Amino acid sequence: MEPGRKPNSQSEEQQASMQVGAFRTFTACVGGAFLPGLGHALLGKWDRAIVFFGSITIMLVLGIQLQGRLFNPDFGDLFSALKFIADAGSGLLYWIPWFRGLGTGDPTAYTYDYANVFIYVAGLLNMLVIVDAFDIALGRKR
Amino acid sequence: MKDHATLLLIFSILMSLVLTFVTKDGARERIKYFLVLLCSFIVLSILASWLMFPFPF
Repeated sequence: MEPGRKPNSQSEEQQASMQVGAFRTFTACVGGAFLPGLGHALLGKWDRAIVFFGSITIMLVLGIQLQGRLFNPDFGDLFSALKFIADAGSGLLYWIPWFRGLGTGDPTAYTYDYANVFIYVAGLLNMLVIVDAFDIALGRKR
Repeated sequence: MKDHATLLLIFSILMSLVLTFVTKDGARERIKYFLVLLCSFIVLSILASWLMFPFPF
């Protein structure tokens, strides 16, 4: 302890730094959930942010272009719910085309299944990216 | 761009890129890991499709 300091001032500093850390972690995770790569951008990891945003965006756009379907929020049965959760993992990249009526899908299209896989994987990869941002914010990773 | 081979290649590249940046630090390590992942995706997909070739559906 530094001379002249009260014993509880150190614990106050620790508490303040913990609060800052918790806020940073929260904003990184929420940012990442809104837009792929935003969490990493908020943490100053620009190389990762650009790669994640670019890759996930390309995947989702390709999926929609290839007649894939953006599944609606339907919790009636398990598989519909899982498909929606996987799709919605992309955050705003899912909600913007969904509100604009894009991604209705054409099950007779040759690329329908492939396109759906692109859309699912874009969302699932973004979930992985959020976990990565969480780890970086907590200092578990560089 | 609607053939499966091109889509497989695009999918593999994007997937490998994200997994590499999540897993590795440093340019050299990333390049090595990316190439290993990409080759694994492509070779294993072709192998799986070859194994499924005799299936009647």
